[in-house]
Amino acid sequence: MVGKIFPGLLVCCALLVAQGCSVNRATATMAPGADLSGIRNIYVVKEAGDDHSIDELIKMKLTKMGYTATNGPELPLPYNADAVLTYVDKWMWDMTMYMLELTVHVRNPQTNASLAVGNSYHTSLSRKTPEEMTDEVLSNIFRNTKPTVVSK
Amino acid sequence: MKAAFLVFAVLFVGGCASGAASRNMVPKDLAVANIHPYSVLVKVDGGRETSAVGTSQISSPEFQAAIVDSLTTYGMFKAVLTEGITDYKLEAAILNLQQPLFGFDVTVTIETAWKLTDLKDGRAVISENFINSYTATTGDAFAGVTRLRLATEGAARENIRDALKKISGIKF
Repeated sequence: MVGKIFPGLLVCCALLVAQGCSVNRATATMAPGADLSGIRNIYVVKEAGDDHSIDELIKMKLTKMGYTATNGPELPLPYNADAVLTYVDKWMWDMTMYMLELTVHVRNPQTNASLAVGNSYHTSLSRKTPEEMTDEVLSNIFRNTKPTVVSK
Repeated sequence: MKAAFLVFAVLFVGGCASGAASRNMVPKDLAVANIHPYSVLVKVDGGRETSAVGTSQISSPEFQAAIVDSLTTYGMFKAVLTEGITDYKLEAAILNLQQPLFGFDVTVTIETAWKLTDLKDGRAVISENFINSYTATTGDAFAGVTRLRLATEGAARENIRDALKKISGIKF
């Protein structure tokens, strides 16, 4: 009896595992009416317990995109910046540790209300490096927005 | 053999997540201050579909249906549409849905942004974010996936209640 059930169970488990391995998601949502075009200076809040220095990756990517970015701990409102970035990174182990999900919020520096959110989710077989995940999320959020050029 | 199948079925069905349903996100006791004699168009963004092996999510169509049903139930506007020409446009975006991985008391927090625009002149009547939480306990449901869905629906319900209460409180 057990011999008859076992192959069926194995197939079901394999299907479930295979489903879990092929999930890819990259989204960005803007708050209705939110305008990111005036943003130039961005403060990246280091997530408590982040020992992968994701705030540094975000800062580097923002700088590459033309923004003036600084990073550091969470501060009392209001922030001295045009926008504040917060993030949540989730990691998983499958042979090695990899970043499963990265969510980045662009927030109002006065009220901390979310103006936009980007999310990148890639499971083990289609895993991306933290740099690629950061690129993907920020590119999606700021897709149609170029930083304001301040002429001196 | 029957026992093995039963165990497998319970594990499988018990582990399957279902998405938040619109009917469970409609507030049950909303006090409406003002009824607006205008038509409104409802648009929703930022929802996410639920996969069987994932956690319970709120899809944009279900959230939109919950808002439309709420507005219709409480008669807040003369007409509520999802397509077509109207006097006002109500936009809602789900920006954050915080869910725990596990726990006996499951608390879900949602952040949404709402904007009501007068389409005649483009003036924003309201543009505000709402953050709400809801806790489901083992008394509400024994299965963890069901508890998470109830908490998710509860947070969304409170969120819709707060947003609509704000909108009904404004005279225009």
